[in-house]
Amino acid sequence: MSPENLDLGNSALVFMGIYLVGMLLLGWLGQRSRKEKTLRDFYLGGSSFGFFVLFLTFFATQYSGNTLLGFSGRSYQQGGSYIASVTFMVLVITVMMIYAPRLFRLARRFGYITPVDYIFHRFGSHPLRILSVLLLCWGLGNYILEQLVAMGHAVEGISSGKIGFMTGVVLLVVVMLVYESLGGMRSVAWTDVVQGVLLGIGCFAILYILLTSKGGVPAATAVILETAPEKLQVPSATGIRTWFSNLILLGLGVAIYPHAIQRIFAAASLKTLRRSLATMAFMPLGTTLLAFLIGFIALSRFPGLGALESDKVTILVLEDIINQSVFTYWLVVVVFSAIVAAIMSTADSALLSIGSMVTKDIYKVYIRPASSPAHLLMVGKVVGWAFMGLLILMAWVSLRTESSLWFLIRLKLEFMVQLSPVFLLGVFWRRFSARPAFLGMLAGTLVTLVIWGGVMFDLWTNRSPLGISAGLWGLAVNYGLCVLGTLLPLRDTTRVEPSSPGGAI
Amino acid sequence: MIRATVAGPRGGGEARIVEMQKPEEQPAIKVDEYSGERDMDLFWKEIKPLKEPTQVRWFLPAVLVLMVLSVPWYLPAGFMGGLFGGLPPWIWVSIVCATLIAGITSYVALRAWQDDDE
Repeated sequence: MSPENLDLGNSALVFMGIYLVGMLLLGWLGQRSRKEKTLRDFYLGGSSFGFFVLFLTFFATQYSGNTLLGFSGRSYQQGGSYIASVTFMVLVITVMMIYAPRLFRLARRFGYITPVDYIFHRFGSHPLRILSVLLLCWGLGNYILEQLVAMGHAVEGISSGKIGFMTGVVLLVVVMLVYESLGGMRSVAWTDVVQGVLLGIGCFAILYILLTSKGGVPAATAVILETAPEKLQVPSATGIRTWFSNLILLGLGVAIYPHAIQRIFAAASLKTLRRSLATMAFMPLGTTLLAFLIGFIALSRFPGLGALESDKVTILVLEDIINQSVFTYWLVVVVFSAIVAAIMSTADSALLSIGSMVTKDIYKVYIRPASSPAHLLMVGKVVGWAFMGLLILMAWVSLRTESSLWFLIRLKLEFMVQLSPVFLLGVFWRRFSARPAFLGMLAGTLVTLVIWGGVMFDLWTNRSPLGISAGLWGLAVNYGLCVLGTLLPLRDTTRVEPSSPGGAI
Repeated sequence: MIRATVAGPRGGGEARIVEMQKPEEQPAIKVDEYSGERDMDLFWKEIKPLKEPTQVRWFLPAVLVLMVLSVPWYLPAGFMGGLFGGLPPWIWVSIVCATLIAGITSYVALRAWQDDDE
């Protein structure tokens, strides 16, 4: 089975074309609505988002190509134990409830634009700031790469293979860069509203179809019992440890996505933010559970797919139902558009976040401190275009190396999660200072890098010793150093006096 | 606002009545764009909202317990159990635990998070 068998026809392409033109129009409207040429207006929409826009932009950004393609693919590979994905996506919001109230309050009072503003304000350390920006940009860069790979699969699917993987990637990237360059966070959020609505309709539609056609889940299970019964069984001790490892890794790591933190900063009020997050807590029971069920059902209908091929199971499942009626045809077209929407809404947010950190936290601080806001905005856009050029190349590489989406997700999160202590400990523990924070973050990153590097250079084969992710081993060392380094009476040379340019580690 | 009497200058001059803001009426700090200042006493003075979810004593313990229960460590490896709606019971337990965590999270977001600038 391949996307070329999926005959969506020209109607689907016309629908997609209208959708893409609509995104460009919203980009232009976003530009016209800009109140002032400031970083806050461009990167946070002037912190003006009400509940409707804020919730939909959280929703559309959080649920991406990862969910509808990558998670389904992982569910296909792993089986029943991947129900863990529903719990860890809920835990993301739970972890936000720990640090977000304080971070939101600080952001309002002190004018944070990026998460690194908080990190520097709290710790006053330039090395910590630079390491944080590097880890966050690495994480976001990987995140965008995942979306580009998912984009390639989706466009191949919707065009019945007429538009190739790389052509699809380049086309959607250009559209995205244009509307984002025009209107910044406003355009991103408004396109998220459209994308979030499409996503919601699309997910509901697929769920309905899956549960009511071809015997639904019970019929799928009956087949799996014959062909792969181990996917319905409680995993081994290693599998249980991996389950806990994923809950912690993804719960902590996804909760500090910089573009999600910037949506906290973008809320018009506390009431809006509270209601958005309270609603977001339930979304995994729709979207992530759906992704799990798609992979599960695909297991019964398309056995024997490899790691890279399994990222296409959503497309294969849709192909299976498209010709049932005119209704299912248009439902599938909407769903495909929803997948593309989910991907674009996440990629554009991540890219905007990278632009904001590179300009505000690196360029303005260390390269041209006297830059005007207009100059910084221009630099941000140039960085965005250049970065995407690099990532398009990486998408091609990942296709050639057959890297699955779950592999890329882990590659991102295991490094990004090393920032967890500066948020979770940083907002509560006054004594926790820059030196243990930096040493912990650096050590955690190095431990993770050594484990991953060892696999790459064939020194060992397992990226998850004892079933626990490399990033979590690193995080354990990280938190350990943060806590011990704070409790033990070491001389701390990292405090920065308010008027001095920066302290040494 | 409060009214206070301020003594006149030495060597003469009348006392005068002035209006002053009460300390609690002074506007909250609000900066449009952070630019590197670090008054840490102010930072820690400003950080705490009126009410936050971590003050709810049962919030994190309940989430931790549910998170642990969502994982079928208590069942032997290879166990399946009877199927309900096509899924084994340990998957349903996980879904129920996730739903409860979502409910608790939503509850603390709406009821246990308040601040003075609402």
